[in-house]
Amino acid sequence: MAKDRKLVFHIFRHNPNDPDSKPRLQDFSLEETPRMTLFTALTRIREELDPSLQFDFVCRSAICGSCAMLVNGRPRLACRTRTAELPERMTLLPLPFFRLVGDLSVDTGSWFREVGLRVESWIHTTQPFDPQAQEERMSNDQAQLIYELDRCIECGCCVAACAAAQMNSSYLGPSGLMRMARFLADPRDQRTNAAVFEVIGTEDGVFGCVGFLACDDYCPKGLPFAAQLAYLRRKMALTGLRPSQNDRRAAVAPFSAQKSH
Amino acid sequence: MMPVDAGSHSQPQPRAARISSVDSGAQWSARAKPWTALVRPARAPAFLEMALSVSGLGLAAFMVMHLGLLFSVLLGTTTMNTLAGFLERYYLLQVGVAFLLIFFVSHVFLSARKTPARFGQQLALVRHIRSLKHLDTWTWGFQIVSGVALLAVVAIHLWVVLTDLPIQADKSGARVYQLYLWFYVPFLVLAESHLSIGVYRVAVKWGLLSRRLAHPILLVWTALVLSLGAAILVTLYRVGGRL
Ligand code: HEM
Ligand code: SF4
Ligand code: SF4
Ligand code: FES
Repeated sequence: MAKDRKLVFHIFRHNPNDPDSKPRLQDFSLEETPRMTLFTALTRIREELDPSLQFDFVCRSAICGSCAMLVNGRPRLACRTRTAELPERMTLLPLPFFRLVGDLSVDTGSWFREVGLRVESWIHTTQPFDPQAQEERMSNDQAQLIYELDRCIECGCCVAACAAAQMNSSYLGPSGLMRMARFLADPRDQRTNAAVFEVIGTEDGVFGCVGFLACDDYCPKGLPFAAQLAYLRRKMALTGLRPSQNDRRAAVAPFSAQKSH
Repeated sequence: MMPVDAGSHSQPQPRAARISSVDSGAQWSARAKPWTALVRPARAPAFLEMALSVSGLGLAAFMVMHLGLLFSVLLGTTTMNTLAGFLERYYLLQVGVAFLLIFFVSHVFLSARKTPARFGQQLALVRHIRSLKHLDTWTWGFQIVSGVALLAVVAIHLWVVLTDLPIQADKSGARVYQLYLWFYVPFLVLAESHLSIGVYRVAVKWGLLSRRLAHPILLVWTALVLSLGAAILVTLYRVGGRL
């Protein structure tokens, strides 16, 4: 890191609840300090320069997913982005697609909740629940795959990077499709392929994806979009041709085959 | 079911009443008619998605054959004339053109599903591409532009060649020499880049190849086709110049 850099932040300012507020970029400058992240920088700006600046942070360690924003046009987690990786002058914008709360703060939660309901993000089973019984066993590969697909922190980076989502606000989005993939991989979920097709076999679902994998490149948690989107597309295309085939569990590829991308 | 204005997300509705909002002008989903949800799942999108890839690959296969036929001119004008005469005598040319037209027209309609139709969407796409600076997203934008340009260019090319049958090396050479070099050079680059990117996308989106593998294959293929195309154009230009 070059010593004594003076950083200039062009930060988006707008309060949508104030009729007099006009969207604009405001400049703030700060001396760079060692190991500074955008989280430290924004906190200092709020403490030292402008207490009205709105932005979200909770965990500061890439776990809660609340701090995503566009850094020089690309979605990133602010708490995980060091200023040393960035040029001296940088632009911070709120994530597109989501509802703007104010300045850099957007409401990702409502959207993710809605998408969770659309893909019915829970195990569908007719098995009666017996609290005394031992849990059914699953193979290590299966458990690992489910874990791998369940690591989403709902930050919204993939949705902000996805061109299909920018053009179609009803699109389920990469994270919504990943949600479905997670339940397809789960042997406890008894939904048939046809039932899954109901949810994602549309142009607001997997057939709305244009497949250039910005989601894969910008997900800060590295979820395996390349492999999973291709898998969902093949699976749903075949189901569309032969809706009666119900043997989805037999066809789940092993973890090792799905991870590589 | 989500409002166009992403500001107020509605609560989910029961399955039978799910209506996908048609806020993308290019979209058609049978689920826009609520009653179809009660009848059976709409299967059209699955079919259309596969048909797009098949039509693109069919056109790519045609282009490879086409390049192979033109390659014969590198072996001499008589070789090309014999080959063209053979194709015409046995109606293979006519079959080829019919095949091309069917695939071409279906490809235009099928790819229109993916093309942003409304101004707001086009603006959103352009802004997004410029902000993200992501190679694969950029090439997709290029795919739309090159596709639309090809629509015009292919039509002109077909008209010029098919209204002046039979195909003969001397006639083609004269065309290239007199006027059409400046038509064919951009045509070659456009068609080849659209084709390479398209085949790459089919491979990646259906999971036939990983991107890491697809990139070098794509580069070698592009270099090969561009140099072959250039060699053919130079040869035809020389043939035309000798007349
Ligand atoms: C000259 C012959 C052409 C060839 C060889 C060709 C080939 C291809 C291929 C292989 C694809 C990939 C298909 C897929 O992603 O499933 C593609 C996509 C596309 N083509 Fe063409 N194409 C041609 C002409 C055209 C024309 C005339 C248009 C438009 C008017 C067009 C518009 C598009 C668009 C918009 C896409 C992107 C679709 C998507 O991303 O899903 N193409 N093309
Ligand atoms: S691959 Fe599909 S889901 Fe991912 S960014 Fe592209 S269009 Fe969106
Ligand atoms: S999939 Fe990745 S980028 Fe998308 S919301 Fe989840 S963690 Fe964020
Ligand atoms: S603050 Fe929790 S992910 Fe950045």
